[in-house]
Amino acid sequence: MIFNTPVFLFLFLPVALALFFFVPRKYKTVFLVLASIAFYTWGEGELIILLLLSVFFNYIAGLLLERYNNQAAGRFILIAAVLLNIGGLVFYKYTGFLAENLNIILSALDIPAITINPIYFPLGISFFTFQALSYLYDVYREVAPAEHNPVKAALYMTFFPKLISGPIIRYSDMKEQMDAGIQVSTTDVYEGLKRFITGLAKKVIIADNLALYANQVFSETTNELSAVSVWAGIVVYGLQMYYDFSGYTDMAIGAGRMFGFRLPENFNFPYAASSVTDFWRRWHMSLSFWFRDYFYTPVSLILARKWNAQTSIGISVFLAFVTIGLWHGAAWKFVVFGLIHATFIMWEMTRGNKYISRLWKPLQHFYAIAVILISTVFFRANDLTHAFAYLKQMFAGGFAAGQYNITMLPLTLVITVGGFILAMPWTLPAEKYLLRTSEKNSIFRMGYHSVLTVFLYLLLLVSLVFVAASGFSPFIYFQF
Amino acid sequence: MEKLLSEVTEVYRRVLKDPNLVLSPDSTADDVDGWDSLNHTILMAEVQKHFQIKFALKEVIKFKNVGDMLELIHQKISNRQQ
Repeated sequence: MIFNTPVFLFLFLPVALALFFFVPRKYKTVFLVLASIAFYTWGEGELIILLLLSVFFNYIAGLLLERYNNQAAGRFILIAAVLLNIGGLVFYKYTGFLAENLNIILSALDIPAITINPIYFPLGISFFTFQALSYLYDVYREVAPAEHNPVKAALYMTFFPKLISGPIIRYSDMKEQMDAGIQVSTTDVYEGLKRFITGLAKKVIIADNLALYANQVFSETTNELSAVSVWAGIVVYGLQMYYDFSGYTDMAIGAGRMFGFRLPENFNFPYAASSVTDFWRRWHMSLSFWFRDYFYTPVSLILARKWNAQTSIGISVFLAFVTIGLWHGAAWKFVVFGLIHATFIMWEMTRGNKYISRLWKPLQHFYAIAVILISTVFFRANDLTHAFAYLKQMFAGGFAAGQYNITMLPLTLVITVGGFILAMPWTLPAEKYLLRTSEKNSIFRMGYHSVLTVFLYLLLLVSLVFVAASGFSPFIYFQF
Repeated sequence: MEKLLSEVTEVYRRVLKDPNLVLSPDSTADDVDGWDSLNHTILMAEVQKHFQIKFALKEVIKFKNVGDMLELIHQKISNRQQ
C-alpha cells in the first residue's frame, strides 16, 4: 500500500489510527505488526511470505549470534547470515542485470545466451534487508543485544511507516522506544499529522507537477532539444527528486510519530551543500550513514590491516559509492553515478577541500550543485547512452539553430522557483523567530497555531484535490 | 593509563594536525573535531603502528570511546610483555 493513494489516506490510516487508540498499551506492538502485515499484503500479496521469512530468519540469526558470539562460530554465523540476506536481495533485484551482462560475455564467446523469466521486485526489500544487516552487525559487535521477543523483532523489520522506503532506523533506536512502551500523546498525533500533510503536499503539489516537465524533457529525442531545455530539465528533475523523496520521508516520519515512534531524519537541505562530501551528510542521511557505519568503516579497517590507511580509504570509498549506486538500481548508469560521487569525494579529501574552502561561499555551493546535477543526469536518464547524449546537449550540442525549447507551463515555473526557495534553509531564521515569540507570548502563540492549522488544512485540501485529479503516481524511491 | 592516554593524544594531534587537541577516556568521535569516518581509519592504523600492536576488526568496531581503546592497548601490550 502506498501513502498517496486514497485507500491509504481514507481507509487504512484512519482505521488503523482509531483501532490503535483502543488497543490496550501492552498489545500495541502486536497490533502494529498485524497492521504492517496487512499494509504490505495489500500491495504485495503473497510476497508477504518473503518479508515474514526474512523476519523469522534474522530473528533466529540474532539469537544464535548472541549465543555463539566471541566463539569461532559467531563469525561464521554472521558471515552466513549476511550472505543469505544479500543473496535474497541480489536474487530479486539483480538477477536480470547479471544475466544481461553474462549474455554479453557469452555471445562474445559464441555460447548461447541464457534466458531468465522476469522476477517481480518486492517493494521495500532494499530497505528491510539493510535494516536486518545493521541489526546482525550490531548484535555481533555487542552494540545492541539480540531481540528475544519475536513480536518486537517483527515490528523492527515491518513497521509500516518505514517499511517500503525508509528512513532506515537502527535497531537500538527502535528497541529503546519499544522497551519504553508505546505511548502516543495528542501532541504526537498533531505533530505527526502536520508532518504527514507537509509530506503529502511536497509529493502531490510540488514533485508531481515538476515531474510533468522533467518527464517530457527526458522522453524527447535529446539531440533535438535546446541547451536551455535540457538544463531546465535536469534542474527541475533535481528538485522533483528531492521533493518526491523528502515528501515521502515526511509522510513516513509523520505516520511513525502518530503510531508512537520517532524515525530518523533523512534530509537536511541537501542542495545547500558546499561540497559533494557535505551533500552526502544532508541527502538520504539514513542510507549514507548506514553505508558509513556498516560498509565503509569495516571494509576500510579490514583493508588497512594489509595496506596503508590512505589506499584502504580510497578503495573503500570507491567500493562504497559503487555499491550505493547499484543499490539504487541494477544498471550501469547507477555505477557511473556512484563513481562520479566517489571521485569528487576522494578529490575533496585529498586536495579539493583546501581549494574549495578558499572560494567565495556562493561559488562553493555552485560547485556542489553543478556536480550533483551532472551526476543526476545518469540517475534520471534511461541508460548510459541517453545520459551521455543528454550531457552532450547540455554542454555542446544544444546551441545550434533549429533546436526546440520545451516550454514550461506558468504553474510549473512558479512551482520550480518556489520549490527552489523552499529547498534552501533561508526560512529557518523566520521559523525560529516565530517559535521563540510564540513561546514568550501566549496571544501570539494562539494566533500562530491557528494560522498554521488553517494553512495545513488548506494544504491538505489542495493535496487531496491533486490526488483525486491526477490519479496515482508512484514515488521515485520505491523502485530502489 | 595516563601515559597511554598522552601517547594516543600525541598520535591524534599529529594525524588531525591539531596541537591543542585534548582527549579523555570518555571522548568519542562526536567530541573531537576532525575525527570523522575517513580519519578514523588513519587514526586506528597510526595508533596500532605507534604501539606495534594489531587490533582485530571486532575489537575496533566495539570501541565506544577512547577509554575502550586504551584498555585494549593496555591489554595487548601486557600480553606482549608476558
